[in-house]
Amino acid sequence: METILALKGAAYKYYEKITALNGVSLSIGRGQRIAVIGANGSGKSSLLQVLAGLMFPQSGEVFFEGVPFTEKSFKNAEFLRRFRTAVGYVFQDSDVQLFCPTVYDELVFGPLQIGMDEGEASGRAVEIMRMLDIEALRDRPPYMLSGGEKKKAAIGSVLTMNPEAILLDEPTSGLDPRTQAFLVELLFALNDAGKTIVLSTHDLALVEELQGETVVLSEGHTIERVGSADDILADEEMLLRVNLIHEHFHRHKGPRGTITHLHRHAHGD
Amino acid sequence: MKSKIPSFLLNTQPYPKAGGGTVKGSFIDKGIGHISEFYETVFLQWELSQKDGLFQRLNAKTKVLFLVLYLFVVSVKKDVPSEVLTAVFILPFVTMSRVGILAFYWKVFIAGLLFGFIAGVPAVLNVITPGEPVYTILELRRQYDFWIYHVPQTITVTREGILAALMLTARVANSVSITLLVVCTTPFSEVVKALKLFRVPEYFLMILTLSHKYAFIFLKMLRDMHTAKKARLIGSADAAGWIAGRAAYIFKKTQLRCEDVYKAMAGRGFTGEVKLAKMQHTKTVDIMAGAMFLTLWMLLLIL
Repeated sequence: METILALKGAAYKYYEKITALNGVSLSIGRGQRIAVIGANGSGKSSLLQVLAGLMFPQSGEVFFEGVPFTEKSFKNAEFLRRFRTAVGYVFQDSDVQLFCPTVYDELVFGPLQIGMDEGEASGRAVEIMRMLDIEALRDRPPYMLSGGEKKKAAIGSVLTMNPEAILLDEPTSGLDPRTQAFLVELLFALNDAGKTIVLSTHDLALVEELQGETVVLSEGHTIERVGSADDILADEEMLLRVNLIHEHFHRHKGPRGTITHLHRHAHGD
Repeated sequence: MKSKIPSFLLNTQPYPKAGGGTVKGSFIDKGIGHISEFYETVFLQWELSQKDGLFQRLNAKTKVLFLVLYLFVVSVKKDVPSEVLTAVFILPFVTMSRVGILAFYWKVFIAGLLFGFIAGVPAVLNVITPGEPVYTILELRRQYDFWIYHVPQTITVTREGILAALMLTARVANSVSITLLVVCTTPFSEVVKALKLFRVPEYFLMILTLSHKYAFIFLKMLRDMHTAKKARLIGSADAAGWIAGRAAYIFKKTQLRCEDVYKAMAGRGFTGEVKLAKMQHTKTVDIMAGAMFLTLWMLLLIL
């Protein structure tokens, strides 16, 4: 499988003091479905932002299609256009991502920046709105949208650029179950269409549902383990070690298969 | 976990009885009240701009044309009947745009009263506008002269003064009604895009959009913080200290958000040069409305 994005010994510290990534090496194949999991503050968002070329490691390397890139690489217009078209990033906080006057403007913003003709950009925006069922929101300002609608608009704003890899930072957080289900279905459909999906989460039910390769980040900001969703979820000792589960965690087999959830029970003190 | 719960949490305490009387609202409450009003205004404006009325159907370019033409008429007309005639011409547009005629003209009346009539009241006196006396107000012992001012011995209301004050009021009211009609029937996003007509650079329009959005987001944050504070507070607290603390917090939060928004823009190909979507295309209804505005405008100029 051809590698689209990769990290080799990447390290990043905020304000040169707070460690976010500590020598992380990772390879993402084209068309893969990957979940990056870890406790709060383990560096999931930082890892995704480094892969998306929004942050640059202070040491180590980051690769796009086998070629290392740095902040300087984005001064090359051809590379910038190629990379930004190929790699889309969806922020956890949709308010950050939605900065245009209306939903329609959000959807055409990316294509216009990479030099696409407005007619084509508009056509893409209309199709994406139809797919995400947000046609009625076309002329609405983003701050007048609900959380779920904002998330759809944020994802749509990336999809209009037709990226080969979509990186999503905690995409289901704060969404109602219906929107979460819609989102998971969308991710599967996009992956089936050949898109590489990389998402960060600490929702283990989502990891199980996604059934992709799972990368576990430790609280030491390193990769603890990489494996299939089932293998990772079965390794309760490791999940306990990285603070992703509590000692009272259980996996239950439901009527429609295995469902991972927290099962609360009391121990005699 | 149960063993870690502090003992006071395991008991229900009697509610504190110290103190009494009425809890006064602080100036912050009033300020937060104004923030809520701002929200309502923005929502109301958006709702109005989405109604199926005459002006809502028009392209922002056509509305800007209307705004410029009619503000010109209002400013060149030199007598009250012409201003009244202009107001009569605007009335059908207001009615056909379904913006709520009573609320609309109430706003126009308030603006006309404050910025027209009250501001123009001194002009009715012969101290400001000499002319034919209509009503004597005051008789002084003698006339006074200082610097460029002349205060006559008899202070009167003059006919010319009344006309000048009425003229000012009518001009303000007409200008407000024309502007309000365009603003109420055009979403903010279209107003911003319409500024392209005046060759305002796109990066400035982007800054305007971002500022409008973040004013909204941070006002919401401020309102939420105040609500959170109120929920934990009995009586008043150091309001000034609280504001200073929140201002610093919001400043830091703004800075962090700016960095994130920049990343979001960069992630979608932004390189420093903004390219925004063009305005809606001109439709037949825009051409027809533009022709009608132009004809009526010429008629008003002649009359």
